Amino acid sequence: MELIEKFGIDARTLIAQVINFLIVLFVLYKFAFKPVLKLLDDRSKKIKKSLQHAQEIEEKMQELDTLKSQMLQEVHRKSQTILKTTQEKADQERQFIVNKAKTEVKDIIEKAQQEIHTVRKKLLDESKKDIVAIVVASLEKILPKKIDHTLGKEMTTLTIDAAINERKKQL
Amino acid sequence: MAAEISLAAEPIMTLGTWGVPNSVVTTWIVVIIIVFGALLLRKKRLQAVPKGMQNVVEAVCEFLDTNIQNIAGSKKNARLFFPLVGSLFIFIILLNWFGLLPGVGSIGFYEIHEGREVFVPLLRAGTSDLNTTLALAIVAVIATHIFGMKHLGPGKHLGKFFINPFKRGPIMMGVGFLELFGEVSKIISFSFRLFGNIFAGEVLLIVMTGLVSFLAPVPFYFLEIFVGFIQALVFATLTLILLTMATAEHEEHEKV
Repeated sequence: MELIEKFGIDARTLIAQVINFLIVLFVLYKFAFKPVLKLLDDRSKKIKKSLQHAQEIEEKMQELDTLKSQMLQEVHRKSQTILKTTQEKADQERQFIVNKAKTEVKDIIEKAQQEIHTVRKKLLDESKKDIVAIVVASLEKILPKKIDHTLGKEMTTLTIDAAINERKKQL
Repeated sequence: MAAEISLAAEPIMTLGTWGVPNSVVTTWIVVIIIVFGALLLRKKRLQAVPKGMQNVVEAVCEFLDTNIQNIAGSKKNARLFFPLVGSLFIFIILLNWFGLLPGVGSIGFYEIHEGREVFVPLLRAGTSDLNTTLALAIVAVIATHIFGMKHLGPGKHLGKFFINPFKRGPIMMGVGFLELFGEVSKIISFSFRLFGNIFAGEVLLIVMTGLVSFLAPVPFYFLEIFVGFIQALVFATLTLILLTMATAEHEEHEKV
């Protein structure tokens, strides 16, 4: 009991201090700890969420990146094939056109040659006739004895033919 | 010499039959400061982006929260114990540090006491009065029992102390009584540890100031600031450990 007196222990003081502490406890809990802890929790939740969000965004970005490169590759490949096929087609077309032109040219040349041939033949025939007529006429005039017209004509034709053949051989 | 050092807090006024000691006056001042601070915090509203004092409050709360979670184990328990442990820490650290302010313990008057003139300071650090520390210790220990009963149920909690000798043997009954006595010794150790440290610090500062008035006491003031922090931390941590132990399952207790 002397100890209690020495330390000045007094029930009323004790109770007063308990009440003081309870006031502090109540006030701090109500106005400081509860709101601040809630704030801190909310904030950490928010930060966690935003970090997760950022990670998701990054993942999505990566996905998009790979998708982009894939698409680019595909596009490249497609364009390459398109280019190739068009080139092939163009080649074919060219070949076709060239062939067509070639055949046309050939035809034209053939036709021209035929025409030339026919014209020459016609000319040759005509000139042959003329020459025969001229020769026969001139022979008739030169030769006193009238030779048989038809015979003369035949003879002349034969001679001229021989001449033409000779010429042809020469050519 | 500046002051006579008395173990007990000196009454400086009377309220009815109760002589209000200077330590209670200091405690009132600290309580008012805390209440004002809390109301200011409420009035300013907490911002999502902290500014100024809110940073300090948040830092303190975070410091307490992480430490409490480390000891309490689960976050649920930590949040349960946070108000009591945090309040104890803040209340004690402010009381400790308030005693270091100039004027506390040195401004006072002389009184004739038992035929002798003694110096009575107007203010005295709240925790250098055994009444205060005893009150806090009693609150802390009672709180451990309340939490224990809430968590385990009254029967199971009280079963730690009152053990049926016919069921579990007389030795276990003796262990139960020892545990009960341990609760009383907890109160005594809690209160005397805090009181002893802070009172000794005050005595040390008075002696140092008496010996060399200038510069020499400065390092000791820093020491006392540190001691004030450490003692608040020790008190709060020990309370927390008691709370954690009280809410732990009995089975775990027995296996050890």
